[in-house]
Amino acid sequence: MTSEAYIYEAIRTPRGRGKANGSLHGVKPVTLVTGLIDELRARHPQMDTNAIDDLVLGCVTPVGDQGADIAKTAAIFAGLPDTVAGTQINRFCASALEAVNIAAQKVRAGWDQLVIAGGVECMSRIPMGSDGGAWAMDPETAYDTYFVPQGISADLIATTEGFTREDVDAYAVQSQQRSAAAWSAGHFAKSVVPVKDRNGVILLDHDEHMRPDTTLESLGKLKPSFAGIGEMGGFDAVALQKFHWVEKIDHVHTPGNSSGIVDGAALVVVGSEQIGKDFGMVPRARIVATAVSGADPTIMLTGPTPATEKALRLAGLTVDDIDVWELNEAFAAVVLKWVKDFDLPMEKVNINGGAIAMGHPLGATGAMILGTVVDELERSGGRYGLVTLCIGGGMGLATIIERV
Amino acid sequence: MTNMIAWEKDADGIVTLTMDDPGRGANTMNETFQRSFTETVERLVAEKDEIAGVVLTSAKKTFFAGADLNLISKATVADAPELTAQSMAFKSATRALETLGKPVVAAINGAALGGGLEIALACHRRIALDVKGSEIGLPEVSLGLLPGGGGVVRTVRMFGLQKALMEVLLQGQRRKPAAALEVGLVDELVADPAELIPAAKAWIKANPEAVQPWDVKGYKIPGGTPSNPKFAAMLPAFPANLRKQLKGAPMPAPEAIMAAAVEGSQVDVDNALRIETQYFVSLATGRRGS
Repeated sequence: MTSEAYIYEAIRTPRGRGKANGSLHGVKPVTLVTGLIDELRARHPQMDTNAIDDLVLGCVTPVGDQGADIAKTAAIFAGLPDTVAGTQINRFCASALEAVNIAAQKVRAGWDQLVIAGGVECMSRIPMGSDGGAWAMDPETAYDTYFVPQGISADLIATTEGFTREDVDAYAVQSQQRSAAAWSAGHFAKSVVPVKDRNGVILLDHDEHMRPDTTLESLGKLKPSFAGIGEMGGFDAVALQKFHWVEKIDHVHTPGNSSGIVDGAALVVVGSEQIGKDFGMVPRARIVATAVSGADPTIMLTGPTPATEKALRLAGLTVDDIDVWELNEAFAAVVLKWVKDFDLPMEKVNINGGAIAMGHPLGATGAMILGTVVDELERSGGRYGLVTLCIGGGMGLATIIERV
Repeated sequence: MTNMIAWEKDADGIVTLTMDDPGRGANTMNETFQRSFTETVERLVAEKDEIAGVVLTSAKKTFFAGADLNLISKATVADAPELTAQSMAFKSATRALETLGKPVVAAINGAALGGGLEIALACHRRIALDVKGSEIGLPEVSLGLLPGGGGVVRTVRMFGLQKALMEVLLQGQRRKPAAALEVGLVDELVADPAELIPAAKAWIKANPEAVQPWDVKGYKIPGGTPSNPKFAAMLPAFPANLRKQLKGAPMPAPEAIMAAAVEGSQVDVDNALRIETQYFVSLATGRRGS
């Protein structure tokens, strides 16, 4: 029997600074996930865990203690019933939103009734890129397909769109201010579950990457992050050979206007209508449409635009129907371009801040910002929200939800 | 048909092999050579118990002039199976030579370019005569080819990926013997032609158990491979900088050389040699145009 797919819960850990001095560096990835599973059981004691069909988790660097199917490992370690399966997926930066979309597709197809989706990434423990991969590491593949690192792509977007350093820094200041305001107003109170040690002592209860005192002046002092690899690494030349009408790349992105490297995890409960009835759980939002698309792999980070268009088309909605717009702040220019493409009012975009301030735990972010949109729709009384992320390889992923 | 490689064994059991193509002024990688080389290596293997070591040298003014470009320039995609088989047959003979279990010395009496140096790289020691006009190197890239006789595989294992690519393979530098010694392509120089064979024989007597470094258990490629995090961090800049240097020119050889080097570093020597042949054939037959 097919059913609409509903979101019953969306929780996340706080985001720890992705370094050895980050508060979550000493916490295992599997522990971040099991801590959230414990919280789900505590919040929904009436939910029979035997009904869970699958645990789908995004993880972008699935090696070391994030390797070998962290989802099933976490399901076992959390003491979920043996019949609860688990799979780890990798849609790069959109992995956790892809996990939610897969869960919705399973439920909507009628094959599964209750799926826990989300993701985990401990970037302080498993460095980005440490899983290798042919695109960056195989010379034949890289050469023939004009591979460049994402920072070069982000700078190329700024260049082709004419965004100046001041433009991207101003967006970054807004991200810091909005994130700080959202925290002080308690907008994350419902979703953030403090991470505790094995004795119940709190290790982290807030996003510790934020720098609310950031100003245009302080950001202006930072050096561009990607000018060096653009020149010495040859990547500017690669990008410019493909985008031959561009004279030179303006390197505007810095650590201050790019997403932060952090540790964290998130989970979303996706189930059929019947699941809610069976366990007395109230659906919070309906998943209206899921869309994946793609764009040029060298400029790479423009995928949210075709993904957004596709999701709107599938949902039968227009730009004006969406009340809450959320695009992962991978780099400031990515957001500015998407806002420009759809002529969006900034007061509806990333209104609770984003990854520039709070960080981007690659495999978990998609579920985190989906949760932010669910909370925001409930808080503001809006109807539709759209969540999207830019993705390595030139992909884009989008999900439209409706508050119910 | 006669064997163009003369076999002469001395009282110490050291076999001196002298390459001397009767039909040409220089030794080249032609059919006569390939057949002679294979036969000679087979004989070395068969008689190895009575052999103390091997000296490989040339009766020509040069050591070996490399590939027969007349043959390669005519190749088409249809020739791929034949070229592949020929290349692998040659490599199989070089592997048999370097794993003979007896020391093998290349006595490089004159220029050793391309295939000539590749034969020498399959020996355990290279002693070059420091003679005017002699050049040593792998200049295949300048002909739109790659060193398809083990030159990529062995220089990577001698020097590591970065040095092999930058100093030998991608620009195809031709070096005088002294410069070849400095970079490490040869191990020793002699000034007088009369010293060459004695120096080779002296090394054989001092090193009766010679083996290639890459055939020793536990061998690791210097400077690391893509599985090494430090090397992996640098690797993406290799193809990018190559593209930057070529400025978009349609030159497929440098990319093929880099790809064969990196891919070959991730597998054992024999598979690396196969990968090198595949890229070589793709260039020689024009499949890898651009």
